[in-house]
Amino acid sequence: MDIIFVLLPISVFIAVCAVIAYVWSVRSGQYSDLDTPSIRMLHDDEPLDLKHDQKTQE
Amino acid sequence: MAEAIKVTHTDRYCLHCNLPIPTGLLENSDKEPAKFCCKGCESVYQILNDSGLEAFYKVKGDAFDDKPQAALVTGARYEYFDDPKFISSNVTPQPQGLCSVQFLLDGVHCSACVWLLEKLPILNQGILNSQVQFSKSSIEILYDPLKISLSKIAQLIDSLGYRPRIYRLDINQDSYSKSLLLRIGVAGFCAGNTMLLAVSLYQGLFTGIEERYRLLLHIVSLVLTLPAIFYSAAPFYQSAIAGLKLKMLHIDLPISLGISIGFLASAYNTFVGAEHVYFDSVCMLIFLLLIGRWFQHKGVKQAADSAKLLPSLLPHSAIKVNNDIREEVYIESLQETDLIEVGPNQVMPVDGTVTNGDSQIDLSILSGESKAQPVEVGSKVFAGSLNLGSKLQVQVERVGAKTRMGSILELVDKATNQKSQLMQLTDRISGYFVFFVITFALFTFGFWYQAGFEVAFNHTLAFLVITCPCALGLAAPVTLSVAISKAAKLGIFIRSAEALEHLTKVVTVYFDKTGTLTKGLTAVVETYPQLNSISVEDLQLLKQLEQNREHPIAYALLNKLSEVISSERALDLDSIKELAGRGISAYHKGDRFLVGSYQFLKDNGIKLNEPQSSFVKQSLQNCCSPVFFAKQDQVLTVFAVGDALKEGLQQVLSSACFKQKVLGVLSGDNKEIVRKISSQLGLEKYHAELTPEDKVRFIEQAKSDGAVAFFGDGVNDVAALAAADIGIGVSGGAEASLKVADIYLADPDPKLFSELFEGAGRTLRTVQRNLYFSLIYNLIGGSLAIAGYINPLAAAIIMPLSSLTVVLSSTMSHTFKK
Repeated sequence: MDIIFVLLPISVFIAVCAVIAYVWSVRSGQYSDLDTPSIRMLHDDEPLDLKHDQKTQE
Repeated sequence: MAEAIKVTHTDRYCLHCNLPIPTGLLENSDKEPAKFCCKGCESVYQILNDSGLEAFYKVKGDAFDDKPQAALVTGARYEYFDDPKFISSNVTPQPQGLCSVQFLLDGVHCSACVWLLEKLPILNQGILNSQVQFSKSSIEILYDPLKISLSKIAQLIDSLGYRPRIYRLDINQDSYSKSLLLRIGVAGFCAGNTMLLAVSLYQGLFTGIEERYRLLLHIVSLVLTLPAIFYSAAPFYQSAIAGLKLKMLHIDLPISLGISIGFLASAYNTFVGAEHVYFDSVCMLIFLLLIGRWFQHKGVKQAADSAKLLPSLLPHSAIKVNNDIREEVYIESLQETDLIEVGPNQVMPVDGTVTNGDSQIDLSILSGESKAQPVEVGSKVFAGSLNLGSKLQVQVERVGAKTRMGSILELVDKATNQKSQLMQLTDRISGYFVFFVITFALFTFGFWYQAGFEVAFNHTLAFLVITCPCALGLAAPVTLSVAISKAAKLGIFIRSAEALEHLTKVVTVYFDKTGTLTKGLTAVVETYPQLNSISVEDLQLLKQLEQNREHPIAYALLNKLSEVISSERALDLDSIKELAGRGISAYHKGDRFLVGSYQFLKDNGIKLNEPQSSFVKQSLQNCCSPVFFAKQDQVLTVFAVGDALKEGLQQVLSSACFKQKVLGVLSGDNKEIVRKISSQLGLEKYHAELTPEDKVRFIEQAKSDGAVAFFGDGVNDVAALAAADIGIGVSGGAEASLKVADIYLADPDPKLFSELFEGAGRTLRTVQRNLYFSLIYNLIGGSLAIAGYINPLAAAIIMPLSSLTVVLSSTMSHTFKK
């Protein structure tokens, strides 16, 4: 069971990495606007493609 | 392109916004049938097609159909945006010589708008990026100032049908929510990991655990708790200390005591190698409490900076006239004695005197007077009033904060600052709570002292951890924020939790009249006889007579007529004669038709029959003015035109929640009208012909009897809204009233008036119930701890359970009906 003396610090270290990633995501403003991205992803590329299709059909 | 749009009657609905096309447009265009409801929509459609963005109409799909909205193209030139003063205060420089600017946009209402606005870089090379925040209707634009000027960007956005307004991001608000999020994340991390370790320790309690493993687990838990204690929990210590400085026992004081003593004692136990540590409970507590704070923060609408009120009410620019040269200037650069021009339907930007032209202006923004005021050369005009008629030239006398509007808003500022802070229920309870906890902690320690210091210490520690008021700290914020979000779904926007508590204590309720009790616009309330008893041809004639008149009554009649006339036919009218303020007459196939006032009727020698004159009497009693439509010598129909009371108002005002309260009307309008309305609604108190300052005075007077709520909608109510203990802004009026109001009703329906009070009552009862819940938990947990039955495992189970009960009970409770 002495392996726990090694494993515990390692697992804590990994968890800290996750915290660092979280801190980064908050600081970079990913949580500042939770409404618009949900709308934006609905029509990212599709409409422009449609337009392209129409042009080629003509 | 027409196929791409879901339009059922292509010739009747606007290609851009799907609004029905005004019938006048359909007829007047000689070449081809009109495709747009207005010039604005047409120009936007043109731009989109020219720049290959016609996919907008695909994106739009059905999203638009719920709430069609015509494009708001104003055609303004925004030249003052290029003023160096303006740029330095509103533009943020970015690396590589780029600049960024933020605008608040009017007219963003669906996802297609977001799509279109984020395509700005396609429309202009100078714009590198544009990002919309839908919930705030704001846009952030990154641009190259060498390639495009700020005014051009504004013009571009305007030409798409969104009016840009200047907006300064509230950085404090943003950074507060970011730091709160970080604290929650860190606390969650600590709580999760210490709990994992604690599970092994609990197992150890039952099966035995080797000393060195236990020590390892204790030390790692201690280390993992440090960030939660020193970083995440910092706000609790801060507000506890701030409360102590004000000699107040804030709810954060027992929380701080609980977590710091829990931590310190557990750390001590770790060093002496004792069995009991509460690191997981402490972390969990911090995590849950921070989540409670997050709810509180989210539920509360951002407090508006009332200093920003002035620019949002008055135009930023004015047309300056200098020897026949007209230029648009930034309002702040206007000097006294400068001449400016104010076009029809424009808001007066300054206080001044009319030097040229005559017109009618709408002063309701300042006085609440609903009738338009005539102005001529020499008349004084005030900033914020609306020019209804023709072009006016005005000599500037006062600008900005010095205008009458500015001084009213100063009043608002003062009132907002003086608003008393109601002590929150939990704060009051926490005072007693701290006292009891400390007394019982000492008692526990003394009681167990004969069993040895260590036992006494551990039992006291258990007591302090278990009574740490987690549920108490969650009870109020969670309930209130759930109630606030439920209310928001009904269209009741509550700015602060305090407002909800205040509402339950209201003694006097004052209402504004126009727009609050009444519908706020001139409309046909009744007709006699019914319109369908008249031939379609006659109605068609009436419509044609009224069509091109710029008058509120004409609009009201046309609105009513559009309900009954479906087909369109142009009829010949001869010798049309209009008598200003009286009426209009014309001949059709030899028959004389006339529309107008009673005086006009009398002048033309037409008499009313018995039922008609009794209808007129009745409508006069209901504060309506009669308008007559006659053919030859016979009155065909009488229209009662007026500002009608909202439907169902009487019922609402007689409902239980208003029973114990004093109700009254404060209005700037004519005494007679206010008296009639009040008597109709059974309101005892009414005060008419008030200035905004008078309204504040009446509210201050009423405050001596207890809390005062004020319902209002106009800018003339802003000061009163701020002065009342609870200002309630009602939709339909100026946006500004929203900013100072504690509560905003997005739906003018009076049902919300009573729902607001009833919901607030239910909310407060739920809060109280939750507080009792958590107190009972603490009572049980505390007495078990005193009896020595609580170990870390029991604490870890009981504490989240109590929090969970409280959260469930607040989310499930019926605070606002939805």
